[in-house]
Amino acid sequence: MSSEQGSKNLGSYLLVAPTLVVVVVFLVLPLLLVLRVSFLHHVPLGYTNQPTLENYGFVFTNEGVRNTLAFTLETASIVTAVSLLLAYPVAYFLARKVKSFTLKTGFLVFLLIPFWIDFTTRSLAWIPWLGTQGIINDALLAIGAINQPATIFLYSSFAMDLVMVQAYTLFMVAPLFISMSKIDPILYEAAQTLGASRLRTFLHINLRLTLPGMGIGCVFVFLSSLADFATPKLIGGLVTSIGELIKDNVTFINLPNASAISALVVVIALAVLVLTFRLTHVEQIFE
Amino acid sequence: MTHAVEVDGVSKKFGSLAAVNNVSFNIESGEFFCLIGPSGSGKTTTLRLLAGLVQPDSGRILIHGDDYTHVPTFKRPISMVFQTWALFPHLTVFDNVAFGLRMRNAPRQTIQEEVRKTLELVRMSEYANRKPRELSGGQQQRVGIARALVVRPDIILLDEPLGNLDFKLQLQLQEELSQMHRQLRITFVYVTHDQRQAMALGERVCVMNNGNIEQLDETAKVYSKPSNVFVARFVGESNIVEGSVKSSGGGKNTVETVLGSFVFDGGSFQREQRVWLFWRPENTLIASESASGDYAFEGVVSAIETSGQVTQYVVDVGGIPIRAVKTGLPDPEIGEKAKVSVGVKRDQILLLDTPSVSETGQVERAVLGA
Ligand SMILES: Nc1ncnc2c1ncn2[C@@H]1O[C@H](COP(=O)(O)OP(=O)(O)OP(=O)(O)O)[C@@H](O)[C@H]1O
Ligand SMILES: [Mg+2]
Repeated sequence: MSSEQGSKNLGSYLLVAPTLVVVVVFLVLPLLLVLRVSFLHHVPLGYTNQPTLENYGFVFTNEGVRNTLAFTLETASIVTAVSLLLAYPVAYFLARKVKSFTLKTGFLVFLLIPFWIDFTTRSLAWIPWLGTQGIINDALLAIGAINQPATIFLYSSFAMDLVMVQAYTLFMVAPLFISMSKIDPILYEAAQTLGASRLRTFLHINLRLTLPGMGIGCVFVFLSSLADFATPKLIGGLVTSIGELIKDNVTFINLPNASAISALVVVIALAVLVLTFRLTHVEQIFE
Repeated sequence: MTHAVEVDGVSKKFGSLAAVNNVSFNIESGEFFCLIGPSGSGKTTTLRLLAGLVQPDSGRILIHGDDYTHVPTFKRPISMVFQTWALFPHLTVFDNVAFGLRMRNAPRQTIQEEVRKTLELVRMSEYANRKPRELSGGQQQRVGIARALVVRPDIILLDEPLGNLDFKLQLQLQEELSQMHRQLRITFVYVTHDQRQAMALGERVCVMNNGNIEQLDETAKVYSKPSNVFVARFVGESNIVEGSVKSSGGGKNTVETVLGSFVFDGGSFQREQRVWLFWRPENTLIASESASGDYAFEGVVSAIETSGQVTQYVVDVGGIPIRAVKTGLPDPEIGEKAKVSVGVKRDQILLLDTPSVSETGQVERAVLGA
């Protein structure tokens, strides 16, 4: 009996085998490689096989690395928080107020429009809006709110946050929408018959039951912003990102340093992911 | 004394369908009030109106004499057991039951104590730490009952709370509900489409049909004196023979049916008026020949059904099925296809003059419209 079950299990594992192969060959192995290089001694244009902790010494003591990392984490946190605040009402509206399924689908497709255009083009599309000769500045000048073009709209961390929020909010809306749609509306009624006011019903039922969706959305947005180095460069102007820093180190052929920074980012990302999933009871998605 | 609930001319439409149609009734304090009716007759909608989960299009709802028509659900002294249980999936059995007490900001100690007692009452103590998805349907239903009871509402609304239980457990919980009601003196408003439960539990029964009240009376009266054909058919088993009034006057009415003519005292009817004779199967007398009773007919047994405790015979009398019920196993003298005689006493027959409230309603509307 147990062998029969065993073979059945093996059969279902075959379903994920192709993906597993791709993940192992193209993700896990390269990561392990990066991890190895991060412990190797740097020489000009390469590295030797001599193990060392000097790269991590550099990562943890270098002020530039620390500042950039802090800035990137701060950006990712801001973008995640703003996305959550913007996406929650949208998902609530879609899941609870729009009754027709056609309309629901319509709204979702509408939200997907930005994804029809590639990422760089989409980022560049902001420039005619935010630039010193952009529409916003023109409008503000025209109504006399300012007397010379403001520079904060483009090539600023504000602009960068804005563009990232626009790019990643859908990653927040989708899981929120799904977890909110899964809630049986009768639960709100049950809470109210037990004496819960509208606010408490929202907190104890709606907010609580969408926690897993929030968790997944936050992780998506946070990790996407963390990994984004195009937006800081194109829209943020002089600001630099941790991705940019890694790229620079690769360009100047200091692979051990680049690897050590990468390893640190991976560890941070993993920690954020595990912590968020824990706090938001993501396992309840499967209930 | 004020009524626990006063429903005053309440209507609720969904689109063009009147789920509840200008309904008025009172529920007394501490009463066990049953709402029965076929599927879609408006029972759940009535409960939801009482709970404030839907707003009436017109009419008023008073609780203890105060107008609650526009008071939000959470401020009403009411709790509810839902037809589909509606347990909170993320909370354990304990926390589900504790929810209402927490919303009332009850102290920790009280919550522990009350939840424990209530779980004992519905025999779910050993499941306190389980999640709803780890429970059977019947167990979830009992948690739903506990969750509504624990807050000690003035009025508890129960929407088919025993629908998902096997017969044995149903009887057992029926007994327990009845006991709880006697102990707690909470007003119970109990919805079921199972008239046996209503008979067993209800002090008064309200029969609904198409959003209307067909009859509201003491339980025994609804059974023995149904006010129309619908109620007679819906509550329990019945014998119904259609006929028309041939002569009326001198305090006597003669009704002509396919089974012959029947004479009744009292009541005023028009000539040719459509009427229905009604009596319960347990009042049908059955014998292999010449049954007693004021009226007797010859027929052929077409079906026999027995539960061991009682046996029901269906006798075909000139194309009309007449039911008779006797205690005990089937009489060996009365087999299937046997020729038998069935009889009924005059004073066991009730003369009904309306098919149902909703149908007369239609007639009236047609007349008014014309
Ligand atoms: N939210 C709603 N929207 C539209 N129609 C509804 C809604 N709720 C109920 N109805 C309709 O109102 C009528 C009465 O429904 P209700 O749920 O009160 O019946 P019920 O007596 O509880 O039936 P059951 O025994 O099947 O539970 C039905 O015809 C139903 O289709
Ligand atoms: Mg119902």
